[in-house]
Amino acid sequence: MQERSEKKTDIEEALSIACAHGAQFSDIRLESSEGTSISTKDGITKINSSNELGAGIRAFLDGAWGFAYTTQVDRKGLVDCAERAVSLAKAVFARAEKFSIDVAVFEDTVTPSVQLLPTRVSIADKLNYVLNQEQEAKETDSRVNSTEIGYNDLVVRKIIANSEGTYIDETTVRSIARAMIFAKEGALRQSGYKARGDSKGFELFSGDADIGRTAASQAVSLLDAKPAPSGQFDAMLDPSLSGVFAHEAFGHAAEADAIISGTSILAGKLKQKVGSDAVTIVDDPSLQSYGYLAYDDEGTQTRRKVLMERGILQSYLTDIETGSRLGVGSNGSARAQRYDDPPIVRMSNTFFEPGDYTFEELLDGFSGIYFVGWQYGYTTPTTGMLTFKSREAYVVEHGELRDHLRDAALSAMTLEVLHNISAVGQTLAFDPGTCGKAGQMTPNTTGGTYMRVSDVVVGGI
Amino acid sequence: MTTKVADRESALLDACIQALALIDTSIYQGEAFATYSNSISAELEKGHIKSSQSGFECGIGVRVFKNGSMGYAHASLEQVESAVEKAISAARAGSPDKDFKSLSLPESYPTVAGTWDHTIASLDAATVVQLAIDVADASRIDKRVDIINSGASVGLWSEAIANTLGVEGTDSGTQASIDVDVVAHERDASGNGFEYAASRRFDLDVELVGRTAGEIALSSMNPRPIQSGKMTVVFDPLAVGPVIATATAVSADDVQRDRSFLTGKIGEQIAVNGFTIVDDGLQSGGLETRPFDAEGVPSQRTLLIENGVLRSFLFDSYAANKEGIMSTGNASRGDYRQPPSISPTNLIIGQGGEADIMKDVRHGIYVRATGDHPNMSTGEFSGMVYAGYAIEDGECKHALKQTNIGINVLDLLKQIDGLSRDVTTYFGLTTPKIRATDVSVASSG
Repeated sequence: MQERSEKKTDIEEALSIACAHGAQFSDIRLESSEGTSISTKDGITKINSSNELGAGIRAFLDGAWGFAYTTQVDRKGLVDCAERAVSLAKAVFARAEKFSIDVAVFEDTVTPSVQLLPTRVSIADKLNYVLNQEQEAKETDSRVNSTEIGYNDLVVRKIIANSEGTYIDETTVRSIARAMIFAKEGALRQSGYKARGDSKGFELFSGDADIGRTAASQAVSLLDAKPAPSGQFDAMLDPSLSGVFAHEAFGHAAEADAIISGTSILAGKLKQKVGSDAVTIVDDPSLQSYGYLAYDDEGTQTRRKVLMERGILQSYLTDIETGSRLGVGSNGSARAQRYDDPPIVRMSNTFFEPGDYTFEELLDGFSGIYFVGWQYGYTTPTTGMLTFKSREAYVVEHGELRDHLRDAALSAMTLEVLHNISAVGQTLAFDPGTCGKAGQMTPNTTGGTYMRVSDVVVGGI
Repeated sequence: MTTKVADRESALLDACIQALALIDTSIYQGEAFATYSNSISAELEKGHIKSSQSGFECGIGVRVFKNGSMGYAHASLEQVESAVEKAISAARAGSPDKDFKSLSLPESYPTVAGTWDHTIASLDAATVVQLAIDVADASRIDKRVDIINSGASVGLWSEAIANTLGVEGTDSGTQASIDVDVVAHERDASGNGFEYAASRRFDLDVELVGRTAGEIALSSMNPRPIQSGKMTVVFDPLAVGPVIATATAVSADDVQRDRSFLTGKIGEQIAVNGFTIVDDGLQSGGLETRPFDAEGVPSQRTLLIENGVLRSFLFDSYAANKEGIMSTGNASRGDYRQPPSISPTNLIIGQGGEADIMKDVRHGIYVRATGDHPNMSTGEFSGMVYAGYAIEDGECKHALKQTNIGINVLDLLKQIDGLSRDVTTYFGLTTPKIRATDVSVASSG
């Protein structure tokens, strides 16, 4: 990027042109990024370097948004882009629902506190980590028959500015590595998965950052596992499953755009009891984790939000638009995947507050299915119906682990699960992940504890 | 949007050639892929227009191989030199791969039909906004139906590919799509409906898409569980996609690594006699239709399962070279930011003879959609019925609540006992409705 002051002049010019052409509000994200991704499949490497430079500009007019983006980021490119954004807003505003927006103003420069900036680490060092993980996975067991390790780092610098005076210059660093390991015995094939990611530099992968061996052990152990039974059971979730529940089933329903569009089971339930006393769920972008951001993609300072406190719904996630329409203001929950996507309401680091129970206490006397390792899942927003697939599970009888199961599916209604969470464990663990919404992927963290939930439907073969 | 397609294609090809000129061909093989894309979209929320977006971008992705070690880099067209440099240093850092033989060689390309529409290429924001309004209006077939959101999008792109072995190709395409998501309310009951459509031409049936979403929402109110057990399941084309089509269009790379449940089954009867599935990169007007793939290999029609017998997997040039055969032209990439990987083009499942596929189903379920997909290592499928109905005496009776189905795809393929005569195209898949017996269905209550 050019010198700061010069760029600032270009940005201010584009924003003032947008307002001169009729926008009541305009904002811009000018983004440059540099990243490396390395993958190996069975010892064969692929190395990918990325460089991005682009800008996205929004123009607001009486409840309508126009959004345009460009890879031409000189003064002319930004001004053209601003003009296009205004003309798009004008094309739609006649059919828009009228509302106005309130914008809080922030000015700040945020630099990342990382020890080893990925752009200063050689490809050879990164490759070495990846190949070591692959080797570790292979050496775990002779039944490991195929290995795949992925490594990604990304350094993003964003200037987020708006026509009200916000000017944020924020640089974030993220690193993640994932292991997908396959094992085979006879005709049986199974896979295991482990990821490690954070808003950190390459220091994340020093020491005990072992993902290959963990994923390999899971794949191998599943070779003996049985298919899951079908029917209605009590469930115990591990931190990975409960963390995803906090994000996927509850968190998305707490996003204010879903509240306004009438697609959330939590609409109209603020300050009401919607979960058991054991349930407290928080979204905290300011937490140093994979979903960390100091300012959101509208330039609003982020903060910890207690969404549900002891079963009572306390807050929604809002951006400038939804915060204005609900009369509460933005709480810093706007995110965009890249400069060519408009910001929308998103989570960041979403987690259960830990409870009092040890793992042993939760297991004591429990009979049902114990789910381990989230695989994937989805929900129907308007009804809250959810399906989660776990990598493994166990049949538990009176506190004793019995059959080891693979690919167990759990389905239930979100509001029923919130009420049926009877006991929450004291160990909080975080998992890095990628969340998709409206075609945009963002880095997120889910955090959960071991917990008991009564009455879920388990599907298997 | 401007329409100087030929000029744009040649500018992209020039950028590729300029990139390749920076590569020392006595040491490396190289490939450059450049794209231009331009789109307009509009989004409605609860019947009100919320936003309109537009943007264009250009970029180039450069792949360099040294002794099989691949380096990739992407950048804007202004930064071609830096992309090449980064790709070369990445190729030098990686490990050699003796299985890499060569990038693809020059061949002549087939002509494809129905992939460019001047109407789409000349649309403006106002027309796209109107499309999103029209599909929303069409869904309101009843007072009980409320619109959650709707959208419309049109786009065009051009691309060019060249490699150091002499491959050169250019292509351009258009696409339009609409979607609508509605909810029906009546006292305490509610039901969701959604529908979408996409086409390379400006021929979307806005009325039908809207009406279908509205009808599904109304029929999805008052969902109930059903008695669990093994029963007949009819798969809607939307559900055939994840459960059957993509499960049988398997990447040769996964097979070579012994990760696929279809490993070692070429030539075996894995499905009932009447089941045939084809990957067709040349289908007229297909969403994935193109003259050449992401490595510049000519597109083709590949029989995957023929009358129940497994005939082929999907190959790119790397996987094909490993077996000493020709690539099936299945290298794909989302955009210039990603190196190619294997994926299906247009999948076509052969139609059957049944005029009413539900007629003889006394007790079973109709699965319209599921968000799940089989475990591709084992073939096991278990998933939630995202939208579906109980079938009693040949008719859909009520919507299903919290219902899961489970079966191994290898069993499912042999338990198919009916394919409908009518076929539907949903995005990249053209398929009849498919009926299978003895599928495990578990419902709460």
